[in-house]
Amino acid sequence: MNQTNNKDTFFQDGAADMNTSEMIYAYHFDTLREMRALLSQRLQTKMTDEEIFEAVKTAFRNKSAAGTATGPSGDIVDYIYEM
Amino acid sequence: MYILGISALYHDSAAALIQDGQIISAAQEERFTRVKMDKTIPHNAIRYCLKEAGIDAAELDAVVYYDDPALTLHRYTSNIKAAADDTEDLIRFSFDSIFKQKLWIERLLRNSMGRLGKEDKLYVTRHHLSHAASAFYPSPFDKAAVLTIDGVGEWDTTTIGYGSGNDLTLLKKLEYPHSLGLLYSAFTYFCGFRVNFGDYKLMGLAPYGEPVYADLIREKLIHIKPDGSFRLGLEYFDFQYGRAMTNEAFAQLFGGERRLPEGRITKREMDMAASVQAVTEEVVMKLAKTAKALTGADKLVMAGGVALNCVANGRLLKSGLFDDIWVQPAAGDAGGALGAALAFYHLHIRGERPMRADGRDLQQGSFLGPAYSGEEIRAYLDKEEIPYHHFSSHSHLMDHIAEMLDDQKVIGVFAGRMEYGPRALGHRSIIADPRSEYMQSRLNLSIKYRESFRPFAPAVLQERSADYFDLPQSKCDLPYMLICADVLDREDLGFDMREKLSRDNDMLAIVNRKRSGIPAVTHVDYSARVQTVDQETNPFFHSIIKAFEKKTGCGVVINTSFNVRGEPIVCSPEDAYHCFMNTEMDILVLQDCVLYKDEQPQLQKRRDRYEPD
Repeated sequence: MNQTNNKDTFFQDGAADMNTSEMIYAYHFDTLREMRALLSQRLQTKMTDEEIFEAVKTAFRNKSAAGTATGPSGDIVDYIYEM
Repeated sequence: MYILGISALYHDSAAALIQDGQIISAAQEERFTRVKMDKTIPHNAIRYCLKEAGIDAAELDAVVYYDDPALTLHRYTSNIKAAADDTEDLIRFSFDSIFKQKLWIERLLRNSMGRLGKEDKLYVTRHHLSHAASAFYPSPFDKAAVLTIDGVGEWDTTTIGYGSGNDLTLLKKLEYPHSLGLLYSAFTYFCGFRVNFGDYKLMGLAPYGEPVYADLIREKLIHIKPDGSFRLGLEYFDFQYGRAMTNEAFAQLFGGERRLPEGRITKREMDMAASVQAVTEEVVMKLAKTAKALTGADKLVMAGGVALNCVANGRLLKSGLFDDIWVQPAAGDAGGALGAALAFYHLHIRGERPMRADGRDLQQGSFLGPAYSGEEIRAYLDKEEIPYHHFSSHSHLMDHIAEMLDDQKVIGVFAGRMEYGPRALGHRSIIADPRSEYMQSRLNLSIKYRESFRPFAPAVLQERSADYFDLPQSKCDLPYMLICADVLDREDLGFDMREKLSRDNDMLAIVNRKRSGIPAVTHVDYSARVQTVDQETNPFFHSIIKAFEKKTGCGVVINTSFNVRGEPIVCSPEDAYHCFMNTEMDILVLQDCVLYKDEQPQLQKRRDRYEPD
């Protein structure tokens, strides 16, 4: 196979983002701005705030299907785009 | 303190209710809606769990969802970013899935329940933490290594952890797209079975084949390190960016296009099944060794869809690597509901962990679903004017069932609380005599309407399990049908099975060949997916087998789930009656009522109601 790895393992340590006390939290947002804050907070070890929403915009705005899709409270992409 | 756990929106939605760490109730939504692997918000299962405790949603101390939508969003967006431009289907699917549903789980659940407990809040936990908690906390072990393996949850596909008392720590992980569950599912798909529905069919097919492709799989499809960690050869798969599991490169590796669903099963599919099963067992064994090395534990607990691979589990138990292993009976996503509630109770609340003084688990035989009283059953039968015979004497009922089994009748059994998890364990089961070499094909073709090659499981009196199966006396408590063991009393087939398959491709001739004293539950490799039945946990079913033993000397019956192909296991007396009437089943036992097929009125058959799985 093409993907070879000379390390002895492919395991990742269950360090920072696998702290069990941080794995459980109250999931809540009322507004899309709060949703953005929640996602940013949850993903901070993975991506920066800007990266998250650049990723969302890139994924769902720049590709054609997203423009017609709507969530329970309206066109989510437009909301995110405006934030 | 009441905590409700919920799994939903992936596959096999479920709800589970615990009180101070003890399991009160748990059920899968599919049983109520009659939609197999229903993934919608489990309104019915939630309602049932609350009713069982006699509380309403506002009285719950917490409501916990088993998966973190934020991390799932991150995986979806990362996937789409990395995809090529012509992935409109993927985008549409991802957008609908995450933005219309998963991110809004709090709102969807509040709409369903009215109020999310006393705090009106939804807590979420991690997918693999839910699996790990579902495996460790109900287990009988104070300390254990924890292994979770599935397709994917958020980013994770495999974790190794350690549980001690009410602590649970995840130590190592593997991330998507490198997934043992998805590798297995790719072969399920390529061999013409439905992903998430047919993985156990592939496992059942494996003994007919030879692992001739195992080296090819190791060379091209999965790079396995000595510690069991792995990476997939992604150039052969389509699950990341397409809607199929495999691509053209994968097909070329195995000599052409995939088998179409319902197509003829050839030696290639048998050998592919044997090969991926061999590789899966190798990975599971290596992961278990790493878990042992990391934790020093002498017990192992497991969950995640791959933990339903009872052949791998049996090999692990037999290896002696751990003194004992315990697998969550609802090892797939349905079990995540229970795990979420338990994780919250132990890790967030820091509640005290209940343990049984007799050393048994807290799963209660997995009989955690709805029950119907004798009065309710008779009221239903009377209202529908269905002919039945009521047995007021339990011993007479048991003797009668034993006599009918000995007379080669196929019997539907409905009693007590419904099972939580994919296996029927005697409360929603179809049972028959395992001594007949023709019973396997009769059950498959005339009762279950499924493929002739598929094996049936034995339910054996726990006290007699070592008489029939290669199990050490200390490991004879296997109530959940999650471990394969070898049958002891073997008879030679009289021909070379694989040579015959190559020549005639006649699986039925092999299935109908007597190969042990209990041929209907002996697979072609002399293995069996054993369920031990004990008096304390499963008294009704134990009484049936005991009566059968008294009459015939045989302490084993066939136990298969009470449903037809594509149908969820029956939940209510009405479901049971309709399944009974739409198959060639001879007798239906609804607790203390017995119904004979030849006394029933004509009922329009509804066999096409369920899509084949």
